[in-house]
Amino acid sequence: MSTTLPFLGILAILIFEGGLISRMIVRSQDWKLLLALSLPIAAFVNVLLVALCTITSISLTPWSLIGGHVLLTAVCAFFYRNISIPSSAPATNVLITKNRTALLLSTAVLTCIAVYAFIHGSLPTFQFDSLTNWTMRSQISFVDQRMAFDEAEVRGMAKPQYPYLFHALQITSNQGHTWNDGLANLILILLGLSSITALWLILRRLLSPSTTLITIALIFGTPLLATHMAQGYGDSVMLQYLFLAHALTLLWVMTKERRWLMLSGMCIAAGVWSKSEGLVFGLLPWLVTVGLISWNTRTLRSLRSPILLTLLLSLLWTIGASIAGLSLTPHHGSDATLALSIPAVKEAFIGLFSRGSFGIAWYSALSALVLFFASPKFRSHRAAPTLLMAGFTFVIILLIYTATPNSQFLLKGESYYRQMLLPLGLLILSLAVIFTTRPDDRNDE
Amino acid sequence: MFAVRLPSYPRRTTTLSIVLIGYSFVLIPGIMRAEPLTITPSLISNTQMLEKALTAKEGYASTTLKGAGAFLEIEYFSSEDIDLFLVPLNRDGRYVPTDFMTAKLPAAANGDVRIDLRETPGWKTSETLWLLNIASSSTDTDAGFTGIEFVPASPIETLSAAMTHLSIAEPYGPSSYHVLRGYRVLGLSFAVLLGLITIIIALIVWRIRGVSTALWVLVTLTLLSHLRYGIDLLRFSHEHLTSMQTASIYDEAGTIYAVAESIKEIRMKEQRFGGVFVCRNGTDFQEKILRYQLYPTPVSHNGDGPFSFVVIIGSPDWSQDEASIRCGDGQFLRISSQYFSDGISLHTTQKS
Repeated sequence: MSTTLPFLGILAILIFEGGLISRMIVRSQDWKLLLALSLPIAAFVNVLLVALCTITSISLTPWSLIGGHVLLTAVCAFFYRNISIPSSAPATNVLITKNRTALLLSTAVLTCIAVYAFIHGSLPTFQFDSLTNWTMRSQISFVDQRMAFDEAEVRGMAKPQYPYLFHALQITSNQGHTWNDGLANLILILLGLSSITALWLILRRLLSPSTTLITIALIFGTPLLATHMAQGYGDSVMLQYLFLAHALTLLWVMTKERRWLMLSGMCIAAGVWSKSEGLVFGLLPWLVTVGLISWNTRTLRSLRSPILLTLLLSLLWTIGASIAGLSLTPHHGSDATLALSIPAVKEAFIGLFSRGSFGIAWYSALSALVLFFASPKFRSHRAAPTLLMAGFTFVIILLIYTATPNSQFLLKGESYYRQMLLPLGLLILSLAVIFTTRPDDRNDE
Repeated sequence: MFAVRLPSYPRRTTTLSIVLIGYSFVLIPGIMRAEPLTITPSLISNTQMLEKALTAKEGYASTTLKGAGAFLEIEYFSSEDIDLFLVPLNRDGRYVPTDFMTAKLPAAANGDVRIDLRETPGWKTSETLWLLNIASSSTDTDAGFTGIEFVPASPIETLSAAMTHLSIAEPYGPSSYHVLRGYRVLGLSFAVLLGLITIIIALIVWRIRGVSTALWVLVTLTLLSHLRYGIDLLRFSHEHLTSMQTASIYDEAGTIYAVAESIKEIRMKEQRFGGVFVCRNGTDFQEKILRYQLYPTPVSHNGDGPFSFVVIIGSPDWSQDEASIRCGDGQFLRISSQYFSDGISLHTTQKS
């Protein structure tokens, strides 16, 4: 009871704050979507607050953290204007409707993941990296009452260059009592649950319920990602934000409503604050893709504010880290040099197609891509340019893990596999919209 | 002394190369025998277990065998039980640690057993080089092999092996968060098999029934493959929850969480605020858990004290008597001790 009440109180404040900010951006009365977006948005606001405390040397205490959130919520409420834009009606004109076998399988897959996530979330922290640079760093920072930037693993962490959205959320949700391992893991499960629910509600504006369910099961059922749904590292949080960003980009492409791009940009920035890779695998491909799409439709000028806001929020971390002398890449500057590794090229493909991290997802996703290229009807689909995001991400990851010293993290069977979950998820999201909505869908307001 | 002989009438044995480590192998002709005792070996789920099992034995020898077959028939004699550890080797001479199997040969004057090799997912129908480790409880054993041969598999036995391999759980542990090894059937990657089948079916269906049906094939087979892993997630969940609730054991972490709880209790009760010295061997995984669980209490396997606790985790280099405990160069005055079910021991100490 001594830990539950403060936790629930903090959760309520975060949900209210996140919901209010989401409402101001989206200007929608879809309370289910606002509720689902509230925790992901509040987690992002929270890391900005922790960063502000870190820069100004304010201790991370209930006063500064909870007080900061309450103050911010009050400011938002003051400037809040009850302006609503009517929501676009969820799509009904889908090409593939019900597929009972796939629906049953999707339900079964997601049930397995949910049971696994909640049971393992309730068990003590277990994984190697959680015990060092993730949950351990959160605990050290919580005890210190300021973000820890240890360079040697004396106290337990040694990666000061990691962005800290993950840690900030664990620190804030533990305020009001001593460190509680269960709550530190629970808040991340709730963040994951909110992100997936938000993804569901965003996709539902484009796809039928059955296609949405199948799409989410295809992405989150990928074995390595499913494993990360309990006590995952910052990678899983980054992936959740980048998948949300992509779904929102698709919604923007299909509806041409700028508000979705604004929210997409915020999710991209949150991805950057979750893991260093978010900068190269999230922000960069997003800017190129949005730029190319807008260039074609000559709308680039009208998108200045979402793009600038995204850049500003993302580069806050990048500039701050540079000034503090922290590496902008996860494994210090050495991984930004060129060093082609032939064994890594072979291993990169074995990893995608022969090992267990992706099951057969890459076979199916690439086969579906072939079907896309074989059909002019799909090639001319309005959402087709969003495939660029998946393509850019795939190529960048492949280059980084075969042509730089990062190849060691592929050959040792480490981060390459987690990163490759991103282009796979992006590909599935884009293909789901392309294959199941009519190419000439127009839903402009 | 161990002795292995090359059978004079090998049905399938093609090569038998022997590596001797501390023992000499004597090869003698075999005799006609009755129906052998069939032994189903068990898979060793992680390398730590293998290391533990091998270091616990006094006598040890190793050899390689080459052949094709579902069963390995061994004629032997031994006055004590013999432990066998078998693993199929890849073409480059390496092996997958989770392919290791273990079987016990009972003491017998004229033993004859048939070991089912199909238990390991690395088993395949074609000729395979096997690494065979042999261990006994004493260094001066009179055990010897008088005949070894491979017995080929029938089509039904091969099919049943494929089904068994599909039911073997994906190995799960603290390192699984980086990469999953994947299921293997008859020594082949299940992802490659199912992936190629999926592409072929989707291609045929696309030509006959169009894009929508081809997509249905891709989606359904991918979800089936996802569900296979989902079942393992449920299995892990049940396993981990049950073992934590009943025995305070969590997979490779063993009882270390219970050790951490004990330290917290003793600290509160006896007001002992020194650090924790970890006497360990190999991986520092359990030390990391202790450090996280007890933070900000210093937890270290080296460095200076003062240490109020010593935790022994599988280290061969430690000893104790009534008053003291020693680990490497460190000597501690022992006050009390607790022993946990997986061999970890916790000692309340004062540095001497």
